[in-house]
Amino acid sequence: MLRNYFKLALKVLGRNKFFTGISLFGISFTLLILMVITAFYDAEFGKNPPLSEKGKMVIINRLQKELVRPDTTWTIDSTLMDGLMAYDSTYEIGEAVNSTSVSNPSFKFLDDHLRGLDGVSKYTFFSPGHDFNVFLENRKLSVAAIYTDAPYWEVFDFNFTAGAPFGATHVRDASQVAVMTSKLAREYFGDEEKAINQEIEIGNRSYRVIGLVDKAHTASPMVAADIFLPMSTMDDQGLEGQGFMGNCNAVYLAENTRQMPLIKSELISRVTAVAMPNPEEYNRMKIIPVNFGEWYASELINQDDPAKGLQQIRLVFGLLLLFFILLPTLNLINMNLSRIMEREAEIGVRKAFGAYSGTILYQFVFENIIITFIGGIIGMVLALLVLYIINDSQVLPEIVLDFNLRVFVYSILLCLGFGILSGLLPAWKVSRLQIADVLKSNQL
Amino acid sequence: MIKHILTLVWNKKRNNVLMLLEIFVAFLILFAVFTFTIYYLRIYQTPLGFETKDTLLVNLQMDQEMDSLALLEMRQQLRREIESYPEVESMSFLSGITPFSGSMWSWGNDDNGFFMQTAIYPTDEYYQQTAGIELVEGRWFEEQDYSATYPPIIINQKLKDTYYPDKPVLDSLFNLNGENKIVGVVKHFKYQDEFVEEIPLTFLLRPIHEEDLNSIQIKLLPNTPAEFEAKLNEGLARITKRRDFVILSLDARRERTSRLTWIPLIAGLSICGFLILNIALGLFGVLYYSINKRRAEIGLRRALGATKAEITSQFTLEVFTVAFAGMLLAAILAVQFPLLNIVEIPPNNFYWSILLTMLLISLVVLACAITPSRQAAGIHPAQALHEE
Repeated sequence: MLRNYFKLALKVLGRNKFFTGISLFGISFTLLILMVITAFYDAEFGKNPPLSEKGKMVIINRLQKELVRPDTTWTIDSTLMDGLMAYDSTYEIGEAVNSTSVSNPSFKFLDDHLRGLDGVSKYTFFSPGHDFNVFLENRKLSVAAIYTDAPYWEVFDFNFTAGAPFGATHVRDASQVAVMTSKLAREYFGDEEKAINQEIEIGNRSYRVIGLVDKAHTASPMVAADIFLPMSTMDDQGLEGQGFMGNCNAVYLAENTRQMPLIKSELISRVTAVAMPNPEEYNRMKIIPVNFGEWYASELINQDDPAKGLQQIRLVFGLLLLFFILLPTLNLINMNLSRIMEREAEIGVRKAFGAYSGTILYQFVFENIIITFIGGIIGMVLALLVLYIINDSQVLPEIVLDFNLRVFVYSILLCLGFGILSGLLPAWKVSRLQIADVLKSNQL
Repeated sequence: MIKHILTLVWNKKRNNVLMLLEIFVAFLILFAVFTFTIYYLRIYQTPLGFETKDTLLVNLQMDQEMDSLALLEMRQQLRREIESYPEVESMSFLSGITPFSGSMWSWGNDDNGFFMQTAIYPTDEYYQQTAGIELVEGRWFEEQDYSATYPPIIINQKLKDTYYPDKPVLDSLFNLNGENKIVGVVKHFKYQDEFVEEIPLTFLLRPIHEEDLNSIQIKLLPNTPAEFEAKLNEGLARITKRRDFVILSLDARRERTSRLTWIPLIAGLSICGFLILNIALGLFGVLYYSINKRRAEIGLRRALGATKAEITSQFTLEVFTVAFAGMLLAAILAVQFPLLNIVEIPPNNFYWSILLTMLLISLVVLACAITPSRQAAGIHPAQALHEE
């Protein structure tokens, strides 16, 4: 049965080449754009290494100090009573934030106050965003470094192509060892193979390379760096600065997702309990622990509450995507409606010989899905081409777009949804045709 | 004529509603993309007000324990060192607020009798030369300004136009951080991003021993080879005894910043182009089919004496009426954005965008309708009636 439908669909496609071309153009380009968007989504939000465990992460990257003063609000109600003005005043005491200072927490602060939480399987403190110039025979390399502790390599599952990460002893002894991306190894040593055990000058120190990793395919500053160095080799200021503010982030991996709200509230209460050293300057401190989605939202838009920011972004992108899919779908429905009427006679005959409306509905939806899949294959080929061009041109240097299995499955689902959506209405309409009308008005 | 066409459209309302919906959605998408494109291109047109060619930026890290005397000495040493290179035309110390850095500092108060807010840009007396800033009136900072009775400031034209339109501001006192004297007005200074609107801005003269002057902007002679950066790197490392700083070219940074706006704009516009092409082809196909289905009607009209032009215009107008209804509905929705002030974009952008979208969709619809309509008009009455 399905084979017949398949043959029929191919026949219909061949019948009027011009209109088939229009349909296929619409389908393949729509799916092309959707596939490229999916690849973007997967690169930034998919659970790819080194962020496979992003679903269980609680991230701290902002510490906020505030000076809060009581603030009295007077409300004066005036009414006219017996020709005289009467006043009724009330006041309430709220609070006003006089000044705030937001920054990353310092290593010392994290070390003193935020260790040993319940429900956390692993956690890491690290300091991203260190940039160095490395000059090499008159070539300049800009190298982004992250100083990390040993558990960093367990929290973020980097893919090691050679060597191994540094461990707790390396960090304790401040050994000058480094893990670098194969990309930097190629640029600096010319050859990945030779990089292990070579020395590289970063800052005023010389590090021995002990591991090579694949560069993270995302722009997330938690993992997007060229070289990773032991925390203890960071300059003294970053490590031993006495203030609460510094240049570190913390990431906690929850044992399971149910623990995440508990971890967040424990972090908040611990920070609130920290005594402020200089209450005249700042008398309150707070952090907003975020999960990965919220963290992403807080990087994109300026919103005090990250959860709300995430909602806003979802809303905007959801609406845009909806509108974008709606238009080609409407177009296709419109086209299908016109084209399907060509086949009134065929349907009339089939119904006269006893076909059910449901059977005809299935047949037409199935045909439409086949056409969509043919368009989908063209779209996929085009998408591969576009992804290659985007990656190759380096317009977005940090992001590498993959067409992996997950994106492929998403794309198949997209095709299926698109096919059903655009085929259902025309098929339903045509399946309800009256036999007598159709047979009368059409030449067979 | 119009009434007649409306009746025709209404009679086929089931078929037309899909087309109307399509035009409606297309209008909204184009409207959104055009609004942002117009908005950003307009901002892009206003000049930056400073030069980015042959310019380097260095962001130094300083030891926090240094006192102001040590800082003063180190900065003087840095200036001597950098100015001793023959490739250097001029240099200035800046705070962390540098062009395209994303950092911003802003002050607001109501001490002048009205609420005002201005961005603050701390710098030194050499910055006009280093950045190539054009003054409208007054002068740039001078060395004796450090000891002036009132701390001098320089404002941009935007600040003058916003708070003191039609009033002379030169040499008058302005309450900013205490009383400050305005010594100059610069034409433009759009330092955040090429695509961010210029805001009221004030240059502060920052004494060289202040803690926050950690960035250096260096103007080089044209065609300085890249090897110079290595030399500069060594010199800076020798003086500051640190290496965790980065030398970057201002041009590259400018390009990187504006790319964040260019990429979405170009992506949006190309998606729009695809959508329009898609709609045009689809519309053409549908019209072709539906007009062919009305051969009998056309044959009859031709037999009764209607000219070819009349038939062409009837079909074109029918299609256009439906499209226009869709556009009108969408425009009513779109016009709410400037009226209700939902997005902080000047209302003019929305009106231009609505106009442009209407024009574009009308053109596409007309282009798609005319060919099938003319084909319909070419039907020979005898043949059409015979088929019936």
